[in-house]
Amino acid sequence: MITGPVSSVSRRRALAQLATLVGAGVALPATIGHLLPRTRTSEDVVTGPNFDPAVERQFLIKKPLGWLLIGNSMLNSRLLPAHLSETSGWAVRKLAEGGTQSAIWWLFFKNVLIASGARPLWVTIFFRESDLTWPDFRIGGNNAELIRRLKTAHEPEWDQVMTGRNALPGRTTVAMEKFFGVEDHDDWARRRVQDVAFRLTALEGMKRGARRLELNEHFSLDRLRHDLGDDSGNDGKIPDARQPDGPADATDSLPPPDPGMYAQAPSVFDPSPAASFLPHFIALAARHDIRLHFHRVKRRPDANGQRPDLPVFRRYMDDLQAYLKREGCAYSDESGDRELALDWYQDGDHLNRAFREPFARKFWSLVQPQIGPPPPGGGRPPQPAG
Amino acid sequence: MVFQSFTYLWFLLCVLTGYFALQWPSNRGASWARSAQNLWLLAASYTFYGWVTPWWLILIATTTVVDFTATRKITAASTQRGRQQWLIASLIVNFSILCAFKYFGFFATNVTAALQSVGLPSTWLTTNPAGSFLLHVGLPAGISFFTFQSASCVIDVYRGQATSRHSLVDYALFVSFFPQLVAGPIERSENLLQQVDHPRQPSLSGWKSGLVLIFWGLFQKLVIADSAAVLANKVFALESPSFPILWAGVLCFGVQIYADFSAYTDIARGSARLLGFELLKNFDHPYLAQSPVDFWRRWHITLSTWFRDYVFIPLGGSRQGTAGTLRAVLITFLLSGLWHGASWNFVLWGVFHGLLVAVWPHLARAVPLLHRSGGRMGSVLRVTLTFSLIHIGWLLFREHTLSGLGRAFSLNPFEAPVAHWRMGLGLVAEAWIYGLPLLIVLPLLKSLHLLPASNDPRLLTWKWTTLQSLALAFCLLGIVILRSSVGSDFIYFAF
Repeated sequence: MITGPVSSVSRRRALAQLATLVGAGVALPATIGHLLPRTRTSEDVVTGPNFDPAVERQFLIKKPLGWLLIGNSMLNSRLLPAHLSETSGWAVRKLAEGGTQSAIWWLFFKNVLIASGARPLWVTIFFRESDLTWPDFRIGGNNAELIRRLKTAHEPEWDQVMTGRNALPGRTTVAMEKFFGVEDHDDWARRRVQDVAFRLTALEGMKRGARRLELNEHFSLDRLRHDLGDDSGNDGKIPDARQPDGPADATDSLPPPDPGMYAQAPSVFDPSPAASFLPHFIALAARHDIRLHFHRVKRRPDANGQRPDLPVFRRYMDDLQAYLKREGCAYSDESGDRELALDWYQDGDHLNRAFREPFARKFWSLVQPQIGPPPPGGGRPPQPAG
Repeated sequence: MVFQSFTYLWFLLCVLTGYFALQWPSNRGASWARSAQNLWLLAASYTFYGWVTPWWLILIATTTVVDFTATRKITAASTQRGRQQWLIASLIVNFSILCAFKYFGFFATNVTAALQSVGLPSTWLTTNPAGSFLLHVGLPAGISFFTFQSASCVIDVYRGQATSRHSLVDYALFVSFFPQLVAGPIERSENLLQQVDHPRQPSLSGWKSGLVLIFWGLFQKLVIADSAAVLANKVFALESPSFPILWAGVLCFGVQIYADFSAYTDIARGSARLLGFELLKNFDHPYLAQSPVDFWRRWHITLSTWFRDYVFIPLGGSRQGTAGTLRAVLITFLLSGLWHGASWNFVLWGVFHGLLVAVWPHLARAVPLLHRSGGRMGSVLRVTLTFSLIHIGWLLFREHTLSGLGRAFSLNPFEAPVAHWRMGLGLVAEAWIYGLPLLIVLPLLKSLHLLPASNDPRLLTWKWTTLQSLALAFCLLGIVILRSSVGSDFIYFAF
C-alpha cells in the first residue's frame, strides 16, 4: 500500500512537480501535433470512399425520380435499382454506401437528395433493428471522412442529436482534437506505419500502392467466410482501402461480432428529436412532400431459416412500428420471411448478389400495397434546388 | 462504462473529487474518512458496473451478500461441519450464477445436439422461459472475475488465512472495486481487503506513476491493441486463408491480446493508485517466458495463482506421482480454458496448455538446450519455442469453430504463393511496429520506477519529473495521433 508523502519534500514543491508532469505531458504533444503537416492538404491524404456529394446531386436530377432507396450494404447486396424499376415500373435510384448508418443516411437525405432539388414520391430506408435511433453508430473511421464531405456549415439537426446525446464526451473529443491539432492525422500516421512495414517486407519489389491494392483485393467481400453470423459493426479498413468491386460493402462484414458493440445499441425506442435523426427525416420529408418508407431487413438466419428477435428488441420494434404508423410512414419487414433462408445469404447479413433479381420481385410484392402503382413516367421531374 | 472513453475520464474525475473531499474534514478522524470514502467508492463502483446494464447489479449484489454472510457464518460456526456447510453453500451460489449466465448456452447447445442425434425431443431446454431468458440476456461483463475474487475470500476465511469483516460496505467494495471489477486483476483479500480496511494516503509518487500508468494503458489499448485487432480480424474473417496469411493473423492476434489485456490492467492499476490503492501485478513480460510453466507465471498472474491455490494444490499439486500430477495439471488447465469461454475451442486451448506444462519438464530433460542450464543459446531457443507454442495456443483461442481449426491445422506452407508470404509478412511487420513500444517503453517505464509505486525520494526530484513528463507526453502523443478509429471492447470483458 502507498504510504504518505516523503517528508523532505514540501507540499508546494510536490504539487509543482505534479503540475509540471501534467503540463509538460500535455503541452508537448499539443505542440508537436500543431507542428505536424496538415494532412488534409497533402496529396496523399484521402483514403475515404469514392463518394462525391456534388456528383450524386447531379445524378439525381438528370432523370425523373419516383423512388429513392437509402441504406448501406444491406441494400447494396439486396437490390439493384434497375431490377426494381423493371419489376415495379417506378423510376428507382439508390444512395447507398457500405458501412454507413443513420447519421450518414440523414446527410444523404438532407444534403444530397433535398439539396439536389430532386423530389421523389417515395424514399425507402433499409435498416436493421435499432439502426434508426442509434445516431452515433459508425461515425468514425472512413465514415468520418464521408461525414466531413456531406456536412455543411449549418447543421442544426445534427447538432441537436449529436450534442444532446453525448454532450460531455462529444464536446471533449472535439475540444481535444482542436487542442492537439490532430483532427485528421490518424490516416496519415497509419499510412506511414504501413509504408515502413512494406519496406521491411519488400519481396519482388512491388510498390506501396500495388501492395495496398493486393491486400484489399485479398480481403475483399467475396473471400470472406460465410459462417460469421452477424454484422460486426466494424468500419475499419486497411488504410487506403479501395474497393475494386464497386460499393464499399466489405466494411459491413469483417470480424466476428463484438458483444460490446451491441451492448451499446439502444433497446428502448425514443422518438424525441434529440435522440435520433428519425423525427428529422419525417419532418423534412413532410416539408418537401416526400413519403417515407422504412424497410427492416432480415438478419442472417439459422439453418432452419429463422432469426427470432432478441426479447430486448421485441418491445422496441413494436414501439418503432407504432410511431411510424402515427407519423404516416410506410413500414415493411422481411424478417419473418421463411423463404429468405440461409442459402440466400452470402456472408453476415448480406444476401448473395446472385439473388438480387428475385429479391427485387419479392420486395415489390411485399411493399406494393403501400407504395402503390407508379405515376406516369415512373416519377417526378426534378425541382429547382433549395 | 469502458476505460477508453471520455465518459470514464469524467467519471474518474468525479470519483476523485468526492473521494478527496471526504478526507478533508480532518476533525472527524481517519476512521470516519475511510468509512465515508469506502461508501463513496462503493456507490461509484456500482454506477460504473450498472452504467449500461443496470440489472447486472443484482448479480454482483447477490454474490456479495451471500459471500459476506458465508464468511461471517464460517467464522462464527463452532463445528467444522458447520463451517463446511457455509463454504459449500457459498460456492454453490457463486458458481451456479456463473454457470447459468456463462455456460448455459454452451450446455444447451451440446445437449440439444446430442438429443437430436438420437432422435429425442430436444427443444425443451432452450424454449422454456428460464432457458430462453438465459440464452438471450447475454454474458454479464466481469462475472468470472468478481465471482472468483469473492469465492477466494470465502475459501481463505474457511482455511483460516483471512478473517471475516464486520462491514458489508467494505466487503461489497472489495468485490466491486471499479478499477479492477470487469477484467481484473483478480484480487485477494490479503491485498485489496486489507487496503479497504485501512485509511489510504495517496502519495505524490503514486499520483505521478498512476497517471503515467493510465496513459500507458490507453496507449496500449487505443494504439497497439486496436490497430493489431484490425489486422487480425481481417485474417480471421477470410474463408480460406493460406498458411502464411493465417499465421500472420495469429501473430497479429498475439500482439492484440497482450496489449489489450495488459492495457486494462495498467489503467486499472493506475486508477487505483490515484485513490491510494495498489493492485496486484498481472503481467511480467510473458512473451519472454522460457517455458510454458514460466509463461503462466508471467501471463494473467492473478488467475494463474488463483487456479494454483484453489484447484491445483487441492487436487494434489505436483507432490504426487507422474500420473497424479498430470491429472491435476490437465484438470486445472481444462477449467482455466473453460473460465475463458464457453466453447470447445477454449476447452482445447486449456488442454493444449495443460499438455505443454505437463510435457515440457520431460522434454527439457531429454533436450539439454531446453534446460535452464543451456546458456544464452539455450535461452534464445527456449524463448523462441515457447513463443511459438503460445501462438499455436492463440490460434485455438481466436478461432471459435472446430471446422476452422481443422482447416487451419491442415494448411500446407509449401502450397502458398509468394504473394501470400509477402502479404503475411507485411501484416506481421505492421502489427509488430505497433507493438514495438511494448518492448521499448515497458523497460523504460520500469527504469523510471513508474510501474511499482515507490516512495524513493529520488523520484521526487526535478530530473525524474522531467523524465516522467516525457513518458507521459510520448503516450499522449501516440494516443492523439495513432489511436485506432476502430474502437472495440477489451477482449477480457467477455470472460
